[in-house]
Amino acid sequence: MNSCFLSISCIYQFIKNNIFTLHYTKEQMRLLFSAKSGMIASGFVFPIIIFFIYKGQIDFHLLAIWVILQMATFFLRWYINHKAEMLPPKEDIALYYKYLKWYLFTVFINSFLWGLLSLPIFMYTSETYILFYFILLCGMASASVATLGMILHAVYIFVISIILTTIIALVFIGSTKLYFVMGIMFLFYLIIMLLASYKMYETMRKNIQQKYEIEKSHNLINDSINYAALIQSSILPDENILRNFCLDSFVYWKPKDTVGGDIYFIRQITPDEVIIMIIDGAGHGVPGAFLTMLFKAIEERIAAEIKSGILTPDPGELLSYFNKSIKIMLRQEKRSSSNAGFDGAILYYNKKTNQCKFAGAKTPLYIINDGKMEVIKSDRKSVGFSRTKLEQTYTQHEVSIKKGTKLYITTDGILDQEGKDGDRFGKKRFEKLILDICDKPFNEQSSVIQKQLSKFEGTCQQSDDITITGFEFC
Amino acid sequence: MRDLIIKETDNSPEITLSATLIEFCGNSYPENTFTFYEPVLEWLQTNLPKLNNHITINFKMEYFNSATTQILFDILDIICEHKQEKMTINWYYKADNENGLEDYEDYADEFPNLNIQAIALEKVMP
Repeated sequence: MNSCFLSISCIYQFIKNNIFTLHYTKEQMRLLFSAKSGMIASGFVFPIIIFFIYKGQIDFHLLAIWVILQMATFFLRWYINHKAEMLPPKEDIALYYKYLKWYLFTVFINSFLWGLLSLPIFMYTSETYILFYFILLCGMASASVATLGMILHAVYIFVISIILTTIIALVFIGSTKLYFVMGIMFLFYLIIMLLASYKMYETMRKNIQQKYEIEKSHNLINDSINYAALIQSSILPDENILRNFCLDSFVYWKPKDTVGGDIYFIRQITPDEVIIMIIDGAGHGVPGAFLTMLFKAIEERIAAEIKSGILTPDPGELLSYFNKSIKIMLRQEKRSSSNAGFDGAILYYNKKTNQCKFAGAKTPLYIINDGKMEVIKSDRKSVGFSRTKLEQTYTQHEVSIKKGTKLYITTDGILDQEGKDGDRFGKKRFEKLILDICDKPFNEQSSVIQKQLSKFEGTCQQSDDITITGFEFC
Repeated sequence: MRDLIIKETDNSPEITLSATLIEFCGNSYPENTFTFYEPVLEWLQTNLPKLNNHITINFKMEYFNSATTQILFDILDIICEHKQEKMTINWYYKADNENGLEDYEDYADEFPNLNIQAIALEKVMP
């Protein structure tokens, strides 16, 4: 009783969700088109068997016509199947659906003909032959369920067409055989529907299993990335160092995918001197994060060589040093496939002499004095890529710092951010934004930027890693 | 010469490679730039030497990431290697794109003998 109920509710669900829409994956449809044995049986072999068994019982010509019609439908179905099989896996799914619809149409014709056969069988043959007919139908339908189970529309059309046409045929027969035939039909229907609903249950179970597997692997990847984020955050500098040098400052750092290719370094080289590096590594996410580790290693070496006097803390020289180190480390002296590097800027400040130096690679410096903005354009050569020369030099600029001078450096993350209207944040909007907020305390500036960004983003994803920094030295 | 047409997706451009037209149209920020552009570079390496008629090369990229920037240099390298008299190279950019002209200059300066023309448009993509 329970399984009967289950099968009925399954069928109801199926009808409700699927009867007019086809929702199959390409994979399912490709499996359908490769299963040919059922097609050959119901369209070719069984009609021939029927012909030889019933030719004595039913009008010869009628039976012959019936067999010919079955064969014709069979060949049409074979042809459609063949065409569908030839479709490349990458073909648009719309074309697969087109072939599926034609295929289902031939299934309908085949099963309609089978149902139609019941009319002469009921009228002219004895119970044994009627029974044999139903056993054959049952066998065909079961086989169809077994092989076409993933395309339930086919099963459904097959079974329902037979049942409907058989019921119509019943109208014509005499009452002597009515109950017998109806009893057999009911059993037939029950068996088939149980099989079909079992198949549907199996399909649903597989889908749920698949979803579960996907979710599990998704969680694993998330866990892994979250752990990587811990590692990446451990190489971020202590922003408190800036307190020794700046009246006020902020750093807004937000990777696109938990880890990212943007990184910044703050290094106090003497009690009076600090070096700030803002780096936008090529890529984002995991590959980007790999690069930040490399950049960190180079930065450590820079700090050591500055200490031992090999390197001077000149931003231009340091960018060249980065360029050479990356190219040699990643064997990018010539063209190679791991083409990696960064765009970025280095700022040097000496609080004793109030000297400030800047060098950038595709990363300008924004200076605001008394509400007026000046932009120092950087060099247009990225750092580290195979395209950039090994001995590339970077222009160094002296920046004059007065009381109340505010400096801003950003990676292109915010500038390239896509907004809900389809446009990008852009330089002009960014310049206007920092002009508007530059007189606020820097931690407030940071939160205004965050709010403006969220508002602009709307429902869009963050496009790239974002790093925005602001400094007021005196 | 077999044409190669790569359909546009939301993070990669439409690419047309044929005997008379080479075109890059759309945004370019695929997750793996190298794998994406590898067939393009291969096609260019194999087929550019075989060209013997006029070919138009159009760059109609709107937004492209830093990895793509580098690959474009590689593409232009190959074009330069097989430079012909009958080659017209156009760089389209949106008039309101703040970096449009600068990006063009990066490539024009690197390949002066390719005579890349800059064309500002109201809208780059049809």
